[in-house]
Amino acid sequence: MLDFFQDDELDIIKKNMELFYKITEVNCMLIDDTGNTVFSQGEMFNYCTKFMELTGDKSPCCGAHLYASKQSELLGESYIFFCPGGLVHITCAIIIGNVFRGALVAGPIQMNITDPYVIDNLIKVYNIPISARGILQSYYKIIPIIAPEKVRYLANLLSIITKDIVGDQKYELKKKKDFYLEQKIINENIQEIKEENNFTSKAYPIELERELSGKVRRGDLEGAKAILNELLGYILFKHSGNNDKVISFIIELVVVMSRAAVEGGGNFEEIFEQNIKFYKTAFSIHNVEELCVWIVKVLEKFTELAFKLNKDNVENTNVIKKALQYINNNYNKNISLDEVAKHVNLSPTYFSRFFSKETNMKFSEYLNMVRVEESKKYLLDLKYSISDIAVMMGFSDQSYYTKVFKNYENISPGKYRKMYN
Amino acid sequence: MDNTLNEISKYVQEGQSIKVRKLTISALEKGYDYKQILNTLIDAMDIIGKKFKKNEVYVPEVLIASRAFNIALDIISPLIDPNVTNYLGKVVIGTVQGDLHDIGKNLVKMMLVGMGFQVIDLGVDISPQEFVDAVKKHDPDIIAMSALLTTTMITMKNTIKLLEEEGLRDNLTVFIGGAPITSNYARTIGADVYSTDAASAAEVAKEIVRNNI
Repeated sequence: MLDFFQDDELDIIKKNMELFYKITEVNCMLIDDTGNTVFSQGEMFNYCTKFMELTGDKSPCCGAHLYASKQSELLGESYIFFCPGGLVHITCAIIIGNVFRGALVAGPIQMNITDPYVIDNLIKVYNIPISARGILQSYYKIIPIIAPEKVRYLANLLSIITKDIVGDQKYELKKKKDFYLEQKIINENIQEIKEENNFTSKAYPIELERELSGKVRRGDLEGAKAILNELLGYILFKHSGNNDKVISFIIELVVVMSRAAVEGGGNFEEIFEQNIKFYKTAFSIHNVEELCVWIVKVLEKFTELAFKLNKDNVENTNVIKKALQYINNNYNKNISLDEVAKHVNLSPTYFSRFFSKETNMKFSEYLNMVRVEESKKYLLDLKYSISDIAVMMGFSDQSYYTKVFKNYENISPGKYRKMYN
Repeated sequence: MDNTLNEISKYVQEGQSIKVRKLTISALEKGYDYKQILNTLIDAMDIIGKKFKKNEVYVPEVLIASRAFNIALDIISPLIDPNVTNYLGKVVIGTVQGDLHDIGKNLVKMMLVGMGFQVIDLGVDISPQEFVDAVKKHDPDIIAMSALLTTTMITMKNTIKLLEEEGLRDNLTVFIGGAPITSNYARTIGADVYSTDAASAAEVAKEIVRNNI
C-alpha cells in the first residue's frame, strides 16, 4: 500500500508525523483513501489491538477514521471525534492535486477524566463478551489524558503540519474554512433576526447600508465585514428560497460599496473598471452561498480602493491597518495620538508623520471622520439628543461636534437628522 | 434547598460524566421527575451551545459535554418509554446531507423523546433517498430535518420532492429547522412546520399528532 503515496510525498509526511509525535507524544497515523493505515508513529495501544480483535471483521475503526477524515476535508480544517472505541482522535485530510489521498489521524487520547462507562457501552453496542470487560478497562486506563482546551491546540498543530504536506492545496482548505466561517456568521445574524419578536414584518435595514458605506469610506474592513454579514443574514432570512431576489440584493450591495469607494476618494475610472469585472463574475455565479463568499472579496477590494494605502511596504501597511483598527474600536473614548502611537510601538512624532504619509490624512482628521460616520446612526434614533451623541462619540462638546460634522457633510447634524427621519 | 439539578447542569457543561451519572441516579432516588432532569440536561446543552457560538468553548468541550449528557440520558430513557404502545407518535429525524452538526437535532430529539414520542434518529449527513427509505421502513407520523448551512438547505427541498414522487407525502408531516431556516423557506419548499427552537418544535409536534387523532 506504500506506493499509494509517491516517495517524496511520503518523506515529507513521515518527517512531519515524527515532528508531531516527538512534540506531543500523541500517536499519529497516516491512512489512505480507504481508511487503511499506511504508516504510524508511536506504538499501537493494547486497548486498540484488543478492541479490533474483539470486533474482528466487523471492526468499525477504519471506517470511522475515514469518515472523520472526509469531514475534515469538507470543513477545510482538522476534525476532532470520538472513535468507535470511545477514544478521542483528531484528523486532518491530505489533499494532493485536488484529490483526497488520505489523512493524518492523531490519537488515541482521553479528554478530561477516565470514563468507566465507555467500556460498558462498548460491550452493549458491539456484543463484546462480558469477560473482556476487565482487560479492556485496564488497557483503557493507560491511554493518555489531555485536557479539552489543549486538544484544540493539538488539532491546530495537526492542521499546520498537514498544510505543510499539501503545499499549494492549503489555499483550497483555507477557502473551505473561510466558507464555513462566513456561513456561521451569516447564520448567527439570521438567528438574531429570528429572535426578534416582530421579525416577519421587519423592513430592509437601509440604515445598515449607510453604515456599510461609512466603514468602506474610512477603510474599516473588519467593521464593514460585520455589517455586510448582518445585511446578508437579513437578505437570506427574508428571501431564502428565492434565488433571483437574493442575487439582486447582493448585486445592489456591490453598487453601494462601489459608490462608497468613489466617495471615499477612490479613483473613479479604476472603480468603474472593477465594477464591470465584478458584474461579469456575479452573473456567472449561480449559487447564493458562493455569491456570499464572493461579495466579501468585493468588499475587500472596494475598501482598499476607497482608503488607499501606500502598498509598497507590507510592514508599513500592517502598522497602519493596526492603527486604523485601534481607532475604529476606540473612537468613542478620549483617545490621543500618543495612545495610538504606543499601540503600534512608534514614537508619537514619528507616528504622526508616518500616518499622514501613508493615508494622506492627519490622525485627528481620520479620528473625526470615524466619529462623524459613527454618529450618523445615532442621529437616526430620536431618543438621543445631539449633545448626548457628541459626548458618546468622544467629542468634547456639541458645538465642536457640529462644526466637525458640517465640515465633512456640509450640513449640520440637526439637518441631517431631519433629512433622514 | 436541594442542589442536585444545578449540579447536574454544571457537571454536564464540564463533561464530568462520572459525577453526572451519580447525580442523575441520586436525583431519581430523591424523587425528581425524569422530565425535570431532562429539562436540566437540555438547558445545560443549550448553555454549551450558546458558549460555543460565542467562542467561549470549542469543539472538544462540546464533545465531552454531549457525552456526559448522553450518559444521563441513558439512565432516564427507560423511564421515558416504559411501554411501546403508549407512544404519542413516531418521528424520523436527521441532519441533511452535507451537514455535520447535530447539536440542534439532538436537542429536538431529546425534547420529543421527553414528550413521549418514539424517535428514530438517522444521524447526520442524510441524503433524500435515506430519508425516504426510513419513511418507508418506519412509517412515521412526522419527518424532521435539520440543516445548519445555507448550502445544505436544498437537500430539504429535494427530500420533500422525492417523498412526493414516491407517494409518501400525504400522510406525513414535514418539520424543518436549523440556523439558516426561516418560515418563508419552509413555505417555499412545501414543508408543514418550521420551528425556531427545540422546545417549540416538540410542542408543535404534540399538537399535530393530537389533532390528527
